[in-house]
Amino acid sequence: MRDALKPLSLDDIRGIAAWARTAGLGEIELEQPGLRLRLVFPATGGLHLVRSPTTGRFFDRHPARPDPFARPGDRVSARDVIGLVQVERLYRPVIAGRAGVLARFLAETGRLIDADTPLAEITTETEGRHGTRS
Amino acid sequence: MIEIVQTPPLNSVQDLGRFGARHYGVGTSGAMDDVALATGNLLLGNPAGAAGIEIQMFPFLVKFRSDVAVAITGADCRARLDGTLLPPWWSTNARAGQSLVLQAPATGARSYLAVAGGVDVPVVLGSRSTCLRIGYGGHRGRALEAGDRLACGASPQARQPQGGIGAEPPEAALAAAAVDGARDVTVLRVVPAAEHDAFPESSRRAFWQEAWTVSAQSNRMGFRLMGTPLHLDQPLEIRSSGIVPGIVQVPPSGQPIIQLRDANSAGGYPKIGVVIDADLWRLGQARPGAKLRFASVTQQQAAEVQRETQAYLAEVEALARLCRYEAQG
Repeated sequence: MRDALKPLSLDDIRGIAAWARTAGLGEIELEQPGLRLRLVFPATGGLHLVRSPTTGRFFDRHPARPDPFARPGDRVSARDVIGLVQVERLYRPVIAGRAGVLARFLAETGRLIDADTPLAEITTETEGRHGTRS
Repeated sequence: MIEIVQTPPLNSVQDLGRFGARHYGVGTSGAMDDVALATGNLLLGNPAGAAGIEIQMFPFLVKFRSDVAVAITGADCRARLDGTLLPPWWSTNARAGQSLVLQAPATGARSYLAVAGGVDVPVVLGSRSTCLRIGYGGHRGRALEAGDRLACGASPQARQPQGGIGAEPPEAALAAAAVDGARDVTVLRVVPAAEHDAFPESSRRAFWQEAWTVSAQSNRMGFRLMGTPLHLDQPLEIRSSGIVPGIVQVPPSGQPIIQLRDANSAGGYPKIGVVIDADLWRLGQARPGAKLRFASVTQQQAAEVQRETQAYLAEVEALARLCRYEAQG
């Protein structure tokens, strides 16, 4: 019964791709009689949010060092400290958590922030392209 | 167990000093920056006075032979644990096989490495401090050498939270003695000493108002200062008397000497003042060429500064303990 379905146009496919990307899908597969469509999105541009470990005051640098731990555009590794949250006399580390490129800070240095507040965005590396299977 | 892989001369095991034997002529020794050593220990849950390593010559490289929590405080030596740069005044967990490298600091003079449980060397006359001048205490009575292995004491709370924790440096946490108009001048609070009033007005004014430069003849025993010479109108006959770290003596050359941790226990030069105990750590971070200025305080004011310093250390201790409890869930 192929009468009810029109074949997908190129515009339809563009639309589906845009929607799937927005929804954060890595892969989508559609089947119509006579057509099998499989879209795979490489995971470039994935964003990792770095959150505050605790409530306190956020700093992008240590008072004893002139330079910030990292600047937007810098490559960071998962274990790198990219900031500090000060609670009275103590500092807790803000750890990148994922390897990638520091996209931007989401909090100003010196600001009071709550626990779990997003502090920075890291553009993660391509996390393995799933689906070069045919 | 930690192994010293590379070290220049003059790095040694120190605690907060050897007290109670000065009447036998035994000086105190101990960390030149006592606040830095105490802070490192408290971050780890050690008693403030546990022994650590004072590093005043760089580069310094150790390898850990067993898992141990460590803290690096004092001058920022851009410590790297297996290549990962640690923030200043930081504590973290080191694993067996990892290496720690400390580089010459850009500012400040001495860094401290504290280990959970403290460096376990024999106690001599109540202290684990090395007296480099005479050669006792610490590790075999001498400065550390490549190949030395140091045991760490038992520590019930040996783990730091993931990623470590740091302390606000005392430079930031404790009010400066005074803000000097010129930058890079360390202002030290000084209580006038026994022979202060014997100096003529001109010398007293020079002492209190001019900047003094730490000369190259400066070490753990004492700092010799350069500036306008201070002179008495007539020579004073004084007997040798007990001296303490911080005392400022004026020898016949007129260039003052600040006696420090490895000083003699007695001396006979006129004493113009004494740097208060709570500011001695600032001297411990002054290197040759550094500029100093003296600000007069009373004993009561000195005691107040001491209380502020103790309060800072108590806050570090309490919060670090809380963080470790949280981490151990």
